[in-house]
Amino acid sequence: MLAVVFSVLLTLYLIVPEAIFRTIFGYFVPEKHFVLTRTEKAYRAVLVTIAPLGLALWASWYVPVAQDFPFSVEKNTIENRRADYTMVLNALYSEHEFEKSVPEFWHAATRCIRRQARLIVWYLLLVGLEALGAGLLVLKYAEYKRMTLYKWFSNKILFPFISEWYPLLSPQTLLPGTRVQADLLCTNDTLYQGFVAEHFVQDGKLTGILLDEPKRFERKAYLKEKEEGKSPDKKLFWIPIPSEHMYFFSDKIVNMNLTYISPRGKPADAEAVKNFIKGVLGRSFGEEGKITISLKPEKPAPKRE
Amino acid sequence: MVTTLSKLVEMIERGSIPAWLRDSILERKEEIAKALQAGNPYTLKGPNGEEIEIRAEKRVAAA
Repeated sequence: MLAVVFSVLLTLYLIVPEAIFRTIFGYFVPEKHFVLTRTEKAYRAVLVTIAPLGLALWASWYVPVAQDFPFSVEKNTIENRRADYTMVLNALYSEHEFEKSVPEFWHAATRCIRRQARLIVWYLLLVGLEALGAGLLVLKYAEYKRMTLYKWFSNKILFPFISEWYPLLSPQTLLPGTRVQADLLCTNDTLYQGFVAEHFVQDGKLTGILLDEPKRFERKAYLKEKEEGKSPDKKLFWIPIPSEHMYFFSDKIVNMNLTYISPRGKPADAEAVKNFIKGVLGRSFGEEGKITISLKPEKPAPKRE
Repeated sequence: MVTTLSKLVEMIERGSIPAWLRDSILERKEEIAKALQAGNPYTLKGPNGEEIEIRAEKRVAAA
């Protein structure tokens, strides 16, 4: 009997709260992006439940409203509480003890269940609030990411088991406004380009990528013109594919080149700009195609009067 | 995952370019190439007053 009660308590105090946390936090970062072993799942369950449980326990003992609401118990003193739990545990442990005090046992058990139900209500509410808070902290990643405490918190608590594909292919949550342009070389020796609309993972492994505005590079025609001694313009060999979205199975992708396009108003990184220009223009100028870049930051917005 | 999320995000940020700059470079690719080949700098202006000047590096004569 004790084992059954223990299983019920484990479900109510660990499995259900972790599921609630996962569901609410999943609205901000979908669960499929986390890669966890069974041990890591158990570790995360303890990690997300320990603070709300401690707080709920403290509240149900000392905070006036939480002491009695919901499922109030009359004369809920520390002594009565201890006596009730002792009686219930003894009766569950030994049939002899149970038979000795059947009527008192049911009264004590009812009071214990009411206390536990009250604690669980506050506990689950706090787990929900914690998940909501964690989700809102994820949305603030771009704003707070340079703060030491936040950086530690996000690395160790918010995203310790996140798949690397999440920041690489869906950085929009962490860096709002950033778009990912992908050049995919496929097993049919064809190069495709487009903006990453969605990526799909299973157990942390990439299964596919959906590209918006897909284009195909006519490599054979391009190489032929090059062999003929012409200087072909790469841009003309990108042929738009008449489809808004195109799905690529990951096992057909040989490699991928990712370009991140930051939103308007964000200062440019000189090295990234240099690499992009060199990629677009090739080595058709300067010594070995070397260029220098000088950046002038954006003008400050005019002050409001 | 062999690296932390913050390292990956820093890497992405270091490698990202503004959308206006990407569009301007792709649109004026020929103009930029011509200017650089002629040894002239080329300046691109952003929507918020930011400017990016591109110059081809000059060959340094061997001593």
